[in-house]
Amino acid sequence: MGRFYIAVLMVLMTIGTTAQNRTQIILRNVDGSAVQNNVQNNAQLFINAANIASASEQGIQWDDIDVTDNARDRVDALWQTSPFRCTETRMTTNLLRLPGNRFQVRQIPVVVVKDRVEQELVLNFSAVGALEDVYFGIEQHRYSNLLAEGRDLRDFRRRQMILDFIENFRTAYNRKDLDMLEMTFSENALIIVGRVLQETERGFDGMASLDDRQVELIRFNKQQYMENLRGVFRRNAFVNVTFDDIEIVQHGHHNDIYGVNLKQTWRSSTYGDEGYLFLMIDFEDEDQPLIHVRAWQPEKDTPMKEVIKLGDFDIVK
Amino acid sequence: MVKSFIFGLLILIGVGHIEAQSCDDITSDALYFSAKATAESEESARLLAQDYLINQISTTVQSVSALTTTEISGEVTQDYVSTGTNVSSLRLKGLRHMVCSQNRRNNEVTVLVYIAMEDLESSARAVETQVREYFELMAMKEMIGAYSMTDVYFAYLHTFLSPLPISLEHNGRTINDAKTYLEVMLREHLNGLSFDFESITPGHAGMEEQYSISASIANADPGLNYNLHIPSLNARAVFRGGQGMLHVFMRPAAPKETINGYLTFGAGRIPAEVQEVANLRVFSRSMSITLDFSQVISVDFTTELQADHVVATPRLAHVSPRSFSWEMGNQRLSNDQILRVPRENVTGPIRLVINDNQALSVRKTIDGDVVQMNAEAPPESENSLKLSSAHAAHFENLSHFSELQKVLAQLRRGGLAVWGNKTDFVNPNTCWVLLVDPQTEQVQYVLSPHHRGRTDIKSGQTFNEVGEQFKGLIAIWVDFI
Repeated sequence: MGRFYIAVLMVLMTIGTTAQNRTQIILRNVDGSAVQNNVQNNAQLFINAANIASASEQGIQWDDIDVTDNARDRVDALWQTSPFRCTETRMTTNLLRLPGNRFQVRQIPVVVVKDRVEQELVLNFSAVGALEDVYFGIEQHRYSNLLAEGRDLRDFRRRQMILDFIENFRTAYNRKDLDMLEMTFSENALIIVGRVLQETERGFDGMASLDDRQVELIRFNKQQYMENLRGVFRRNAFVNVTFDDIEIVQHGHHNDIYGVNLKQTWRSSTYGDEGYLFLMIDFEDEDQPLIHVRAWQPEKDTPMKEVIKLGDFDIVK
Repeated sequence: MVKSFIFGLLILIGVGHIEAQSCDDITSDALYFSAKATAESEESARLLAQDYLINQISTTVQSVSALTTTEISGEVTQDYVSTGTNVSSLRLKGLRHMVCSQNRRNNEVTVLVYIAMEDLESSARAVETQVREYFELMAMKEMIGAYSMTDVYFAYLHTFLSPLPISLEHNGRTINDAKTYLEVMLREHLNGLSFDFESITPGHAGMEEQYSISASIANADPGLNYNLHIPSLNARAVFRGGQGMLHVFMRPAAPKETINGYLTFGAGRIPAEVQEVANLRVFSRSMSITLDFSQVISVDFTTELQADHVVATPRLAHVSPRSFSWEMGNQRLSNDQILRVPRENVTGPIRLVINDNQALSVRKTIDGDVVQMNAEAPPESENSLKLSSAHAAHFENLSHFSELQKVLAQLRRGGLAVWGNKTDFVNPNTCWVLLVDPQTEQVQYVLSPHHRGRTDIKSGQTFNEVGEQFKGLIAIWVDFI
């Protein structure tokens, strides 16, 4: 009876509560090659190392895992704020191909231990099957829908790259990865933050309008934004950022420029909010995409028609 | 328009080389495909010859043109009875032409258009590369569980640009003719589609015969547009992203009306190079559609006493009356539109049956008390409600809570539904409610929402609200997105 109530609670809260340390990962489309077997083996070793580490509240033991230095550093940083464990004992998924003969495994369900938020983990592997990046992905059906809009192979690859970039960008907040965020913004990046004005101006009849709360848009430069972020990271034990309702638009003339509109939910130890986030991303250098504009507006007080979009900017390149 | 004097078309495949550069040499060279045409100007003759050549190549590889062939003096003369295919869309690089003869007196020019086998193969390879990319894209999308029928469609259209059949490897198997393979996929896709009519909304006053029917297509590819055409009602609807609205003018005679139509599909942004092919290659499928008008049809009557008679007058909405039947018990009182019967003869409730259809009937006492009403009246404020038939499929045959857990997990993974407590929802009236007995862990009730309350799809019982009667059970509220 008690188990049943727990199960009901699980359904209602959509949070896994069972603890286990062993997860079997089956990649249904591996071709049996040494590289792909290496990917499957590494994926399983990593997830099980994470399960053990989260149960023992210690760091991940990397001994048997083929991992790049960069990936190890990033996961260790992520582990400081957002340790997680896989909620499945056995999971089957596809091995995906990335540009450059790299591989990806998506849709690994994990629970972040501190705030009990469910995430879907993404593992990237190098051309030889070494783990080279780990981040929290957007929900699979949203990911699929955005990629399904890819008109041709090139457009598909670009969208894949944008989503990977966005997922990595988002996880950088969880990791409190100031270095990565600093690299992501261009030197002259325009940062816009919407702030709700406490009192609205009075109308001609002297009556304040309760419905017309105004949002003031404040501009920051990259240095100011990074300084603010540094303070936020210092004050909060954890930061968890999620992205929803992602829309990707390619610029009509500048094919390397993309506008990404999404809904951002920010949860941290001391603060939480929801807002519309706009990113103007330049993929001229596909290995190092740059954000030229980041604009955040509070969801509650921003009508849809006032949400900042790619079309609001004149681009001179 | 050219006043053409076409003496003939020669499609000749000979043996030899092109060193002499004469028309005869080329037409007899097996390394070339060639076609000859005569017209009053060189340009006209060239265009005609080019058309014939393309037709010939296309016929060679596709066998789509209808031809009658006659043997004249050892030469093959082909009369084109009907073309009407997409052959002019062939991509041919390396097409050349030369003037064979000029007759100034008759104002006639004969031109030979030809292409080397090598160039033909090169053109085929260029198209093949493009088709292969679409196959790769399809494979990538399949791997992430994304829809890829749009890419199947585009790949299919591109195969028509190739002068030679395209064979390739896909998902570990060899496909000898990509066009046939893709065509089968597209036909299977079209045949696998099914409609779910979600709501029927009548037009405003004065336009009661107009109905707006919102519907969705199960298994639709979001990248394709589906066109539904119902010729008998002169109605058309385009479904984008699997969703659409059909506007029809009709007056239903029964709660459920079946109409016939056909379904085609296309894509919003078709690549320019295959637009012509898309215009000519239309996939269509005929289908019968059953529309449920029971949610808008209303059958009622009013009664009044006139001297010593009871007069009953029908009050109908959204139904076309073809017959009236007034009954009392097993006795038929009248088939007139308005019933007039002595008061003393009325000894029980009166039933009005429209169109001899028991689903369109109402039984009332002469005081106006409704005893039974079979046709549902339209709700007061909301004519449009989800029928939820597609949603019901998810919960059919559920018995144990563990089965429900699996279904909910699947719905969540697919992004199809959210669930929680009643207080989690802004409008819980539109939610399904699943009630589980904590003692036995059995799913006791699966309540579907409708405008008058909820119906248990397990027992067919209807409930006005989820309240005291379910005390002790655990309720899970599910809202489909």
